[in-house]
Amino acid sequence: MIILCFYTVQFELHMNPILHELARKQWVWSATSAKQQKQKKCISTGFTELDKALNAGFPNAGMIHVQTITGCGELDLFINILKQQNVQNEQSGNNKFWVFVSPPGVPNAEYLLAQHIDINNLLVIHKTTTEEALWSAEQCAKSGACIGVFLWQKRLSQLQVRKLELSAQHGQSYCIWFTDSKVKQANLPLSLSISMTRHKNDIAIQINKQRVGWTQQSITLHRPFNCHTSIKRNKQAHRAAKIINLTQQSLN
Amino acid sequence: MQFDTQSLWLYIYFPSLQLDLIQKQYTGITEHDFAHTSELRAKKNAPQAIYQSSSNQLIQINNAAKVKGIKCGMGLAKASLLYGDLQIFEYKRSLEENALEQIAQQLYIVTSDIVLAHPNGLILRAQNMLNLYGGLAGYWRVIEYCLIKTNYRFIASAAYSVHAAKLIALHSKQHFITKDRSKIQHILDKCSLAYSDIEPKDLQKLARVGMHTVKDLRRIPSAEVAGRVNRYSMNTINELLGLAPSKVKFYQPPSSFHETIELLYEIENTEKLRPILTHTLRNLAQFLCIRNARTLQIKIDFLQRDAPCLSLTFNSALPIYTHLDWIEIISLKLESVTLIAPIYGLSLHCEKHETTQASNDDLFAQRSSQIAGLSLISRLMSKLGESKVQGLSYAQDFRPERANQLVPFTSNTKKVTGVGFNHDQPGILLTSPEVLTQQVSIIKGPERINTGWWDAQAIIRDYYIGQSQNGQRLWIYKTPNDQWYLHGFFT
Amino acid sequence: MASSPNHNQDFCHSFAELVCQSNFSFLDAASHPEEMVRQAYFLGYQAIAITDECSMAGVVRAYSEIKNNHLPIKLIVGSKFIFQGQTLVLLCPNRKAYSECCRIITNARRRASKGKYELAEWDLKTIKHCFCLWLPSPKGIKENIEWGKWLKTYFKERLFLVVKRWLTSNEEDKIVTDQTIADSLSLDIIASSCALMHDPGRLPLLQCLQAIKRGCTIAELGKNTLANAEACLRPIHKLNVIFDTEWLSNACLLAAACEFSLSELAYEYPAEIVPQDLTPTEYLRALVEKGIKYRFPEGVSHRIHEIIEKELHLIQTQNYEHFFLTIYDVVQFAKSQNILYQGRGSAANSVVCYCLEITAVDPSQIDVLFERFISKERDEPPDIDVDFEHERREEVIQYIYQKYGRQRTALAATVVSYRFKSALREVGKTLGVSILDLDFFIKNINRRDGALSWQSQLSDLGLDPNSHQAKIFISLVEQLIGFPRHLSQHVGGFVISDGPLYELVPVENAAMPERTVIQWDKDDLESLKLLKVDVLALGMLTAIRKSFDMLREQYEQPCSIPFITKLGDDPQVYARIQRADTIGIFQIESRAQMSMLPRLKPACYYDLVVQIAIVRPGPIQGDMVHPYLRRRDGKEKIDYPSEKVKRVLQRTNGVPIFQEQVIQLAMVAAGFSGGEADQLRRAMATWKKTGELTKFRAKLITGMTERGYESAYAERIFEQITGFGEYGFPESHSASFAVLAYVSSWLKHYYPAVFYVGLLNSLPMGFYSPSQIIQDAKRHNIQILPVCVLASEYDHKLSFIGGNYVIQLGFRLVKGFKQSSSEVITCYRSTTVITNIQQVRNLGLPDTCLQALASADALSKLSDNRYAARWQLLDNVPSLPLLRDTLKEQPAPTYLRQPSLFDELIEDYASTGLSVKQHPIALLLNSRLLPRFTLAAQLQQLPHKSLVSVIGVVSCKQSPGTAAGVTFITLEDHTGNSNVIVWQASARAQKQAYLNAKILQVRGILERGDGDVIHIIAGKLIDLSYRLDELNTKSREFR
Repeated sequence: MIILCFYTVQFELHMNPILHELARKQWVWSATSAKQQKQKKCISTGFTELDKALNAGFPNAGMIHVQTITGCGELDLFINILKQQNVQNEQSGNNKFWVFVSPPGVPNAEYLLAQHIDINNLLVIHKTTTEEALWSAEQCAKSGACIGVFLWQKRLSQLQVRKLELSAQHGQSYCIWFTDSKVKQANLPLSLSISMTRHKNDIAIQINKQRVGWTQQSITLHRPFNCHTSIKRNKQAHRAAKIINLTQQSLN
Repeated sequence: MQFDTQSLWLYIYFPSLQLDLIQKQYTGITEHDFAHTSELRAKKNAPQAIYQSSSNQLIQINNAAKVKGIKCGMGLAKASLLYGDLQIFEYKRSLEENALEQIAQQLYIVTSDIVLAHPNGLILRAQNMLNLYGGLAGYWRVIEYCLIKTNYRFIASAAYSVHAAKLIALHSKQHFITKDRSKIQHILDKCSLAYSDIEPKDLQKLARVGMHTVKDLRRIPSAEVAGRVNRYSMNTINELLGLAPSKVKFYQPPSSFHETIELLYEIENTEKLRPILTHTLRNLAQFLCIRNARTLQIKIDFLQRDAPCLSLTFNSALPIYTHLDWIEIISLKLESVTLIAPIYGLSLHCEKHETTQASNDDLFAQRSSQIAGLSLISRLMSKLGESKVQGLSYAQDFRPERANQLVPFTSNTKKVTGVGFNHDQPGILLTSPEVLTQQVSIIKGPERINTGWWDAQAIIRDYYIGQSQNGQRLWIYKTPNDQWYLHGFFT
Repeated sequence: MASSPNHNQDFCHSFAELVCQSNFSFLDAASHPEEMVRQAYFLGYQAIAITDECSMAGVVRAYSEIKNNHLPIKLIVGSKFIFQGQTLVLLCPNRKAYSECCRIITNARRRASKGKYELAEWDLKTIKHCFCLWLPSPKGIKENIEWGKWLKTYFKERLFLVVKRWLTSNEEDKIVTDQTIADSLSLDIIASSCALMHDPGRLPLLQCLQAIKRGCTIAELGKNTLANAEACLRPIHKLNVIFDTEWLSNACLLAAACEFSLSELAYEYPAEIVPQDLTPTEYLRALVEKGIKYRFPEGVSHRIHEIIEKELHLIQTQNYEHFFLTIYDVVQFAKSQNILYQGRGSAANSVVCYCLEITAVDPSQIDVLFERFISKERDEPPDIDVDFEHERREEVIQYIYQKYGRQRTALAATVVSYRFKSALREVGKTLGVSILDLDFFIKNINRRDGALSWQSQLSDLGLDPNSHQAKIFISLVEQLIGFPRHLSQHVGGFVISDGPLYELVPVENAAMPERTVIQWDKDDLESLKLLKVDVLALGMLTAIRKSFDMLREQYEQPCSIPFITKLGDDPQVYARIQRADTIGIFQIESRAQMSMLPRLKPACYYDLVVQIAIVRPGPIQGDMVHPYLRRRDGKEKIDYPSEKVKRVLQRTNGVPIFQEQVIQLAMVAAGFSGGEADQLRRAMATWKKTGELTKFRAKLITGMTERGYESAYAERIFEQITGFGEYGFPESHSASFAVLAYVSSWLKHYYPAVFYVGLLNSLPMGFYSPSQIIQDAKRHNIQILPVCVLASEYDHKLSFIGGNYVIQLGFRLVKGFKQSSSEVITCYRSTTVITNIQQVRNLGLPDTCLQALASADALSKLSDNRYAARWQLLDNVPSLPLLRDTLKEQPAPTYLRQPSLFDELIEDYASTGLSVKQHPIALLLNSRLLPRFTLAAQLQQLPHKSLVSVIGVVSCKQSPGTAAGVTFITLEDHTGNSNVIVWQASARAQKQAYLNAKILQVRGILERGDGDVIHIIAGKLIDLSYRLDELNTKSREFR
């Protein structure tokens, strides 16, 4: 595979048929198109720092590769972002599906309901072969009826990724691929690739690849639980004396 | 429609439709299943009764029950005291209505004007069929033959008004088929008014001045009666006495689509079925189009040489009619079908269809994405099988396994509103909890759940939120004997 | 501070649960108040508050439990309220606070319909003494702070914030919010479990109750219930883990500040019943002396004088004067209104009560009864029930309300508890058992079957006893039985006080309009030594008064109960009683009583007293009847295990028959103290509900065997105690009832027509239908005239025709006929003679009334027959006003047929429930539709053990609890009744005839028992009901 990177040189696409072909396959990136892309709608992640790192946010459709171990708040992050985008759909009565393909368990309805997601719009493709899973993800992504497809798979081939990316673009939806494989899969033909790790209340995000802009140092998001952990307290000022006074009053 | 008072009518009364239905089921089984024959026969011959809870009465009983002294009109408690092992079935009017409609369908082949007298009577206008069958006797032979085949008990009678025929049928113990007016009048005179359609209030009035039978009624000048009962009852009385014509509404058979095609050559490859299917589906589309209808389901029977018929049902998540829509769904499903023998014919059935709603242009945009969604689901289900395409159901239960379940996907489920749900809930639950193997530090808890004692799936658990050393947030719980389990991830 | 908690920084060794609901918060909590206090004591709590929702109904139970068992735990009285979504608990630190709390509950309850309450802002603003515990709502912090500020304005330093912890999800967030609220308002925080159960094991029952309340199944409760069993009383060490130590010690401190105890409540009688210049003692004595002159015109004997002095002394030392005076006042009112009454109960049968005219039991007749009724050592509150005519009791009640005012008068409550059937049905529904199955269980479980428990009967009915569902079903039913369901009004127990009643106890609305009920029942009142006056209704008094009135009007014979009793025991009257000719006689008219009368042969007043008490489940279950008979007839030697026992049992031949005797036996033979005996008596009254009686078993039996009695004898006494159960019959009541039994027998003997009319006009009451009573009258050769529009009035009346008194039946017998219509007819008749039906139509009576008259054949004198009459009435033309006068009389329509005798019979039964002219058996007999049989009147002539066949209408079918497995069937023909006994085996073998027959033929053996009682022991039962249909067809064919 040839990797071509043009940083500064301006060129005319139709002048070079090979380049043309590469560009059509989106294997080349040009700095001018970076500007054009910026003008295209980006989806804010709700975190200023992350938005900055992503050059204004997520692309408006496509495939995102997320490398993380399960339980780092990965789903939460994406659901929160995609949910905002779905508000518009819901207002127009246009219910789109959330699709879970081969998740590592069962999506928790109570969690989704707390996020104000109508679980009737949830689709789970479960217990299938890899081939079926990918076919389903592709069908969903391109159908135009889904807001996002969450796909759990260890490894995908270039071709598979390519198919999914095109499907998502075609259906104007997201295909978010979670993997806990530590193996680096470089240069996948997709919109965005990130890695996530968690330490206590902080999530560290490393952007491995994005269509526009550069990979950066990892950024940190603070995402604590809502909960309080202890209700015991030791107050110095004790008001028992007041109650005893009261007792004497009431006896009078 | 209204008829003169000269027409001859048949009334067919089915005194124990539901009970006969149950008996029929047994007959169906005993013929095929020899292994359990004696047991089933014993069951079939056990005392049985149909019970109507609204009136707390038994309304149909079989002979075996009769022998035990059980009678129609008895309460449940009394009947069960008389015979404790009485098999009781709750009365379902809809069952009888369906059965009645089926009988009507079968009769429709041989006679034209049929009226459904729900739930247990059929009215036939015999008059216009007499010529066709060469008189009443010939006509009745055909009807009787048809009815006997159904295996339902029935009693039929003829008379010159619908009400009179009904009264005689309900009153007699045997068929009463004659054209002779004087014979009819003679038997009618003896009939008790209690079975007639006269309103209960007026029936009681008449009974309490000593009028119990049709004869009693006939003695009195009609004008005298008219001042003493209400109009509905008076109409019934006039029809009964042949003073006024009958008004009835005739039965229309339902329409459904069936087409069978015999192939000119045998086909072994499903791919090759496509053009033939397209042809049939076009016919279906035309059938539906004429009726301005769409359908959700079709059935195709593939007749295989030297092998049992292969019956496949194809579902669409939204009503469709064009052959192109159907061919896509069918092709996807056929991909996973292997033929064990060559196909020599097929038949397509479409039992139910629904009328198309006039589509509203404003709503079209919105509907289009909905249609995209539904056709996506049809596609997924055809390819993967229905069981692998699932949705999520939420039930009010403290047990997470119960609250949260994967179910076959259906559209149009009930809306679950999102009020009062807990925050700090894991995004993914394990299908079944696993023993906790790693070291976890506790962040929050406990939340104690002690419930489910009523359905033998009780749980007592203290749930905690914990964090593993590599940063995973976990939902874990401890049982009363200090066992720790992992139940979910805060993804 | 004596009980100051041992407080250190991180562990609080004591605790006081200040928010705790018992099952008197109906369906909200799952433990009895007694269980709550016992558990709190067991866990080492220093105090527990019972704070039922807007109620004090359960707190007395808790109080008694602590008192009876001397538990070292403090009980705090309080109540919980929900007000605009906020939960508030008021606690009563002192008597003033208690009155305040009662007043608020009363106000809130009186505003709403029965079973509900509505607290008003005003109620809270007026609180000056109660402590207020506040549980902030789950709403926002801001709204709660506003609320807190408002509460603080009124409660000031008496407001506290409660933090509850049930280990539910997201609970910590709420607690942190509450802490913030407390800080910003500087409120002290109090820890609480907000207990709804005494033990976590009650969780299933609690959830079952919640499902009952919501009307769904337990599975359907979903998350609208508890997630776990933490809403209970929990060990102190656990509380220390989950609560801040300071909050625990705050609860203890607050508990210590509550000083009020229910023992402080003192009851003050209304002052106005005593004249101002006299003390109650002086006034009572004056009234008694006045009464002596009236009751004993010839002067009192020395003995009676002594007794009066002794009674007065006792009344004075126990401070019961007001009680006697209050009842005196009530009966004086009844007397002035000519309302018949009769006092009964332990204190009623005293000479003082005789002199105060509370009772008519003449002591010169029954001196054997004296001295037994007020007993100082037993320390029971005096018990006087006064029965009034049932139709006129309302007048007495209205008098009491009027005299003392509604604020000072209310009815005592009756706690309606879950019984077996209701528990089974409700629990079953919550477990999703189908209603059909439940009905089947309920109908087929014989609770009287002593041998087979209902649990095992259930498995016989097809419930697999080992299945999980069956186990929880049975266990929940067992737990629920005895749980209070709701408060109902006591039949007639009034509490009258000097000041407003709501300062003493909360008052709420009863189901009946214009009635108010206090939240305590009879036992609670007794526990607190408060007195109530029982104003009860008795049908027989109405019948007797109506008879007396007729005697005065028709025979000019003044008559009264004392007049009859003064005449002395009349052998002729007793002869009639011994023949069991007692249909309609008070207390001795049931089949069981009638079969016993010829054997016991009562011949004097005290025999009647015994007769009434002996034919009861208690003595029969304890197998006391036969020994009594044998001993009385001298067939068995009477011996007493000891002299003490002899004193108790001598008057009943050594056989314990009365409730008092059993209690006294427990004291003299088993060594029960007065207090224990009193608890035993109460347990007897409620044991079916609560099963508390079994607690006493060991004590009674060991107590008796230790004192040298045979254990078999002791077992028998205990059997009898359980048998007494709810039917326990005290001698004092029996003595009063015997008077009425005698008076009604006397009337029936000397003035039978008068007696029957009086009885018929007082129905419904007693065992018999009008038909059966009229059949009885006919057998006594009294002529009966059917209802007739020309002669009848609303009531039945005596007519003097042909030198005889005959009974003219009245319109009240006609179903669907109104009294007002009757008045229209009698009024019209007083001026005009009715000659045709049109006249009756023109009276403008409602259509239904006219129809009813025709059905009852009351128009027979104006028309050929009832068909013709009704045909004429059915016509709607002449009722138009214009035509009314023009159409005078119509000719009878010829095309209508004559009703047959059978038609007439059916119509008679349908319209009046009886037929004066026809009897079905006579009709069938005349139509030759019956096989050979013996008429009831002929049975007397047949010898003992002869084979016999009888046929009759099944008029009565009883399977009394006193005779296991036996059914008494009464067959009626036109000559009388025959008594059939069906053994269980015969009934089972011939179920069809036994259950279905309306007309029954019985072939069996005639048996003559003691005293010539005739029974037919059934062999073959044959259902002849179908003969009626044949009769119907036959009568049609021959018209």
